Formats: sequence, C-alpha cells, structure tokens
Amino acid sequence: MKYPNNQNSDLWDLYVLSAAVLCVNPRLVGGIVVKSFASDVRQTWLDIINEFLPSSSHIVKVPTNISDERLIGGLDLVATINSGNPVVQEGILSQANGGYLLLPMAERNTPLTIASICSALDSNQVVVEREGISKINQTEFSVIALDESDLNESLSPALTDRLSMHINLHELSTHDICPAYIEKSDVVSARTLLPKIKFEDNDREKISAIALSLGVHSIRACIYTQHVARIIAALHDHTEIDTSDLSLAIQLVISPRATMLPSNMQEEDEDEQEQPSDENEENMDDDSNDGDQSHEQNISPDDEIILEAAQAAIPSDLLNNLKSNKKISSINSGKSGTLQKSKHRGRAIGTRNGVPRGGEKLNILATLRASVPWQNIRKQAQYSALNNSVKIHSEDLRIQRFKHKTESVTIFVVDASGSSALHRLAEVKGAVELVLSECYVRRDQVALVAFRGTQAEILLPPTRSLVRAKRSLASLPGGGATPLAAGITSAAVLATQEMSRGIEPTIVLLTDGRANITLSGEQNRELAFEDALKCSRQIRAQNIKTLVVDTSPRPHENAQKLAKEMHAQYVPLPYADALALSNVIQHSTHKNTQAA
Amino acid sequence: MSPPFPFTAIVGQDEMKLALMVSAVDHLVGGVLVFGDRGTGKSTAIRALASLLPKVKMVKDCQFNCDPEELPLTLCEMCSSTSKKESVKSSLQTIPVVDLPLGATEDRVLGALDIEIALTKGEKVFEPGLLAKANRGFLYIDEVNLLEDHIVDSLLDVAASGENVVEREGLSVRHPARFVLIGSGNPEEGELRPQLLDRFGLSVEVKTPNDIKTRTQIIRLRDEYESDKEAFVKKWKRKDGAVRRKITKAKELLPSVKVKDSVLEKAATLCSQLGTDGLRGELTLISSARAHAALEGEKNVSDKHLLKMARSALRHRLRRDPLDESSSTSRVDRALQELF
Repeated sequence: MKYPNNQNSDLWDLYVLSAAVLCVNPRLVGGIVVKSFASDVRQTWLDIINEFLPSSSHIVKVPTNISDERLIGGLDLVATINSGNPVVQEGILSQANGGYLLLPMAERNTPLTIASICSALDSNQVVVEREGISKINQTEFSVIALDESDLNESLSPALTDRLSMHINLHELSTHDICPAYIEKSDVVSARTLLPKIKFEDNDREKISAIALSLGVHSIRACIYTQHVARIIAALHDHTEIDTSDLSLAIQLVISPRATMLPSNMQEEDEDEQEQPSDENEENMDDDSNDGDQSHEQNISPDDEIILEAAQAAIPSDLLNNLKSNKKISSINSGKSGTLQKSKHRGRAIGTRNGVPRGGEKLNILATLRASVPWQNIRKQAQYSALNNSVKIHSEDLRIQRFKHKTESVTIFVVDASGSSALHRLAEVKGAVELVLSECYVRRDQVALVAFRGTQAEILLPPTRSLVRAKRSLASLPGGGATPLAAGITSAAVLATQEMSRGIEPTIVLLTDGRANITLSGEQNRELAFEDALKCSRQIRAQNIKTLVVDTSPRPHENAQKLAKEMHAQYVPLPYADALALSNVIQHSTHKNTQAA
Repeated sequence: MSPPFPFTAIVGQDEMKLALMVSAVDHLVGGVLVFGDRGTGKSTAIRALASLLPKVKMVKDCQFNCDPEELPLTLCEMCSSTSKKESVKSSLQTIPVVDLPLGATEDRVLGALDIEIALTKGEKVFEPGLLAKANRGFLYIDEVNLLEDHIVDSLLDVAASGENVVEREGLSVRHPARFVLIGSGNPEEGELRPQLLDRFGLSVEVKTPNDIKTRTQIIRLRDEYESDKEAFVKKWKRKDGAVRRKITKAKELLPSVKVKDSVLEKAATLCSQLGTDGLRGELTLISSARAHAALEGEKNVSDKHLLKMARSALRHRLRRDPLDESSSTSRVDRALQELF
C-alpha cells in the first residue's frame, strides 16, 4: 500500500493528487471541500490548482455576502434606465460556466446561496426567474469550498454531499509541503487517457461494500468514487484501474465521510480501551449495523487492504469521535449569517429613494410619479430615439419598504447534572418538547444547551427542524456534576450571536442552582456559585430576556439569587408536570415578546 | 440541454415512482411531496417524469395554457371572451413541468407589470409569471422547505383556489392557475409549514437503499448515463414509452373506474381511526386509489389499491404531534394491519 501510515508528506501527496483530479475533469467530480483556515499550506494547494488548470478555465470567487441578483442574475436597473432597454446582468453561476466556483468561508453562505449552487450543480443550468426576466442559462462548473468552520458551525451537508473529495489541511504544516509529485503534463495526458478507462462491476461492489461498512450511505459518494478512481488511474498512466487507484479514491471520497468504524475494528478498540458505554449504544444506527453484518463475509483479502487504507485515511478528529463511540453532533444547516431583516415581506409602509439591491422591491408607481415633474425638462435636454418614452433617471427610483415581525429564538439551557437529573430531567425534556411544538406553530427557532460533568455543550444550534430537535433531546444523557457557570456562559454567547443576526433571543434556564464546578473546571461549591453569579451579570448587561425555572424539589434560594442577578423572571416548580412547565414558559416568552 | 435520466432506469423507490405516476393520471389527487435523504434520486425522478407526460389540447398562443373544451368560466379573460368554440384554434402540447427556483422573485412567480413596456411606452401590460406557465401542468419546487416565506404565502392561496389574482402596481388581473404541486426536500434542513404540507395530496419518504446489489446497480446505471447520455436514453426509450402509454391509458380509463361502497367505508374507517383532520384524507385516499386502479387497468377499486396508497395519502395528515414525525408511517401501518 502506498499510504498505510499517516506520514504527513504522504498525506500532502494525497492532497496534491486531489488537486490534479479536480483539474483533469471538473465536471465528473463535482468539486472539493477543503477544510482549513487561511494558511500557507492552503495557499500552496490553491497555487497547485492554478498551475494545473487548463488555460480555458477560470476561477470565480463567491463572496459570502453575495446577493441573489449577483449569484443568479437579474435586471441591471441602472443600465436598463440609461439604455431604455432591459439589460440583463449575468449572475456568477452563469459566469462560472466551464470553470470553478471558489467559496471562501463556505460555511458562512446562506442556505439560499447553497441551494442555488446545488441546483446548478445538479441540473447544469441556472434558472433565472427574477424581476421580469425569465431565462435558462447552461452552466457547468465545479466547486472549491474552503471550509473554515470551527466547532459551532459547519458546512451545509447538502453542498458537501455534492462535492466528491473532502480534504483536511488542518493536519499539515508548511514543513510537510514537498514538491508536487504530479506535473502539469500528467494532468494534460490524463485528460486524453480518461475516456479509455472503464469501470468494472466488481469494483463497484467493492465501493458499495466499503462505503456501507464505514457508514457512508450517500449514493452520490459511491458514484463519485468511481469517477475519481478512473481519473487517478489516468493520472498514474494506468490503462486499467488497479487496487491502489481505487484505494486512493476511497481515501479521498469515502473515508472523510465515515460515520462509523467497521464492526470488527470497533470491537478491538473497545477491548483495548475497555470503555464500552451502554447509553451510547442506542445512538448507533440500527440499519447500518444490520447491513454491515450481512456483507462482512463478502470482503475479500484484497478489499481488506483497501478498507484498512480507507480507515487510516479517516481524519484524526473524526476518528477520535468514532472511536469513543460518540455520535458526531448533528451539524447545523449552515444558517450562519443569514436571516437579515426581510426586505419583501410584511405590511407595506411607504417608499424610500435608492436603487433596489439584494431582493428589494421597486415600487414602479412611485418611481413613475417621481419622474413626472421632470419629463418636459428631460425631453428637451436629452436626445433620445424613443421620444414617447418616459424619461426616468436613477434618482427617481423608489424602493418599497416593509415592516415585519422580528424572528425569535428560544434557547433552552438544561441542567442535566446528577442532582437535577434525579429529580426531573424527564419532566424538563417533556416540557421542552411541548414548547418546541408551540415554537413550530409560531415559526420560532429553538436551540438547546445542556451542561453536566465539567462543561456545557450546544446540543442543538438554533433550528426550526423538529426532527433534529427531537433527536438531540432524546439523546441527552443525565448525571454528573453541575458546571452552572459554563452553562450560563455558553447560553449568553449563543444569545449574543443570535442578536447580532437580528434575531431576538429568550433564554430559558432550567436548573436547581446547585453549582459545584467552577468556570475553570475545579470542584468547589462556593466558588462555583460565585462564578455562576458573575456569568449571570453578563446576561443582565446584554439585556437578554431570561426565565429561570427552579427545578429543585423545593424552591431554593440559589436559583432565586441567580434570577435576581440576571434580572430574570423566576418560576419555582415544585412537583409540576411537563404540561404546567410548558405553560409557564409559553406564557412568559409570549409576554416578553409583546412587551418588546 | 442534455436529456434527463430515464424514469424507468431509476432503481427501487417504487413508492415515489407510483405516487408520481398517480398524480400524473389524476390532477385532483393534488401533488406529491418527496422528503428524504440526500442523493436518493428525488429530483431525478421528477425531472424524468416530465418527459413521460402525454400531450394535451391547449388554446393556441394562450399564455395560460387554456383548455379549448372547457367552460368559459374557468378560462382566462382572453379565451373566455372568444364566444364560439369553433373559432378557437387549438394545438397539442406537452403538459408543462415548471421549475420554481428558490431564488425566484415574487413578480416572476405571480406575474407583474411588464417593466420594459411600462418604461418605454408607458403602457400597463401584464406579464404572466410561473403560475401562469404551470396552469394545467406541474409546478416543481426543489428544496421546498427552504422556499422563502413570502413566496409560500402567495403560492398557498393560488394552490387552494386554482386562480391567481394579481392586484399590484395598478394592475388587476385574474387568470386560472390550476397546477399540481411537486416538492422535494430534506427534513433535516428545516420543516415545511403545516399549511403548505396540507397542499400536497401524497407524501413520500425516500431512503437510501442499503444492500450492495442495489447500490452497485445504481452506480453502474448512473455511470452508463453519464458516459453517453443520448445512447443511454435511447436504450431505455421502449420501457419509458410503455410507462407513457400506461399513463395515457389510465387517464382514459379513469372516469369509468368505480369505487364500491365497501371500499369507501374502509377508507372512512381508516381515516377516523388515525384521526386525520377534515375530509381531505379520505378524498385523497380514494382518488389516488382510483388512479392506481386505472394504472393497473382495472375498473374497480379494491382493497389492495387502498392499501398501496394509504401510506402516501395519509402519513402527513395525522393529527400533528410535530415531534412524532418519524413514526407517522408506522402509525399508518398499524392502523392498516388492524383493518385488513
């Protein structure tokens, strides 16, 4: 095997290979996800792409703040007015035809941007239905998505599914870079060789089996693997795909998508580490397990080698998660940076001057009205072939303004520690579920933060998806110490983030107030509560609407103190059931919204 | 434009394929929602269906695809003002499948003032939107759960009334817009609004197949298609043709398909057991079972047709416990087992 060990220079070679694959035939492979912060390594990698590119191709950059009209295309209003004829402005998706779309900070793109890119990738066309323009542009491009996400964000799964190769440059430093082992001439000759390389059913079966045993269910990944394998064979000047080509393709496409380890390997690890945890077992996907056992016998020694290489190529952070049997926290849907105030919804409240941009609506009547007084002067002053036409200048343009309700998000901060869990974690779960369904009707978003042991975790970033909310709630384990301060802090951070997006947060803190872990993670009851009070002041300073629900069996002064410090509403909840709790929360959030 | 992947070459996903065919046979079934995993061929199937639809008569040069045989009341202003049927010229045209892209603006969806004419001539002329184009055909929305709320608002009313009323920019226009709504999406990316969910007659859940044989076959067919699209489509032309004829025949047969009282009763019992809201559940169940029977070439709707369509017709209509989404299929299954 060529890359059985994770030596970094070998890894670099693999990534150089991925760049070459992308440049041989961009259309077949969809694109690539590059996980990396801005770094020299990434720049070197991008330079390689630039070198390998055919001269006819070009790279079009998509800034994260791109507006729909620039992305998809639309009417160029100013040019239209100046010329008197509709002038169509081509969107970036159409401009990228035959080249590459580069998405820096791809995780920050809006879901709409991502959906438009995905649909163009799928159908090879851009459908423009905007501002009086109805048009279909053919476009074929491939995507280079630079993923700079950290823990709280991630790239939209809809996009990553459509991009074949995923590479992770985090693991490399500048020392690992060595001269590219593939040269531009290899890429050029691979293009001519590619059509001659055929794929066998036998190899397809291997791909399916290995994908399934690593828990990769997407069919797209399997389809891409065969294309990538063919291109790799062409690059290596093979006329047939051999095992090493196939193995490399699997390492680039399947391994980064792994959601589980093959069952035999998992068992070994559990024996070694002696920490099989029962409560996590139920998290495992039942279907995939069943499927797994049935084809285990089918894997031949040859495939074993490929499978081993595939496992070796699983990125280390992902591997650690898989080994500890921890479910990879279900990722957000790329909502970051979206949801500005709607520009085209709500009650109309008059107009303002300006050229409409980014989905703003032109009020035609007001625009015409504004231009009327100037018609005589303009007709005299200006030569025009169209003498009957209305002369409109860009200063006449009027934009429709709308008033609309702000969106809101309810952040549940759940104390899942031992002391709380004993009493009423189940009740809290029930109440949160009820409130969730209420939020669903109101189209509010919900988020879930849980704290136990030594830290707080955002189990569910703000979402409207009930499927995900339900799933993350059901898998919320209880027990352990109470890091109250950490819980409050992460809720405050989340709330601030949401406020910066123009969404109004409400925090619902469900705790018994018995903190015993300090912010720094030490066990000290008194200090821990001090810390919690300090963090509470943060919330007050930010002026975030908060509700403290005391979940201890009898109303406890700790929780009251907390509430006071936060300027929050305090609700003691002795022996209440889920329904009562839900009523209180609903009542108070509703009241708060009205007051605002 | 490259030819779409053939409908019959899609491996598995029988429920989705049947639901799409049923909605093609009877427009009154009211649309299909396909929800499920990524990469399961949702959009592929829907785009493939477009090429299988039979041709229908339309008034020539009518912007709204009016039916020359219909009563003047349901026609657009221009067609209904033409007094005699004989004077209307008609032509055979393919049933339209209109894409509603996510980035569409409201004016293109509903129709709006023609800006070009307004600016150059100062005249008020209505420029029909996508809803006009989709009249008597299909309106397809990919990633329907990501559609912007203000577009959903305008769709809902039109889908319910079958008529698009435009009152904006000094225009006052109404035209027929009866279309079958087809939506697809991934529930992980966001919920569908209940009001919109209700507009879909059938809903289908698709899953990625998990056995090696099926997966291998899918990969092989996809590769064959991509390496030579024209040849691949040609190879499947006969099978696709058979499906097209099946749909055409079923459409002819549909008016003569009978539903016995006993079957009606069963449908009603099923719905009351499941506690579906209103009567739409029963109606959709019956009309889809009838279309299914027509597809099979049978003149009587029997239990097996009911059984086959029950899941698609009812799973999204159960009294909404929004957190219990995943198990709604099994709830329908349980009720079916009790009844049959």
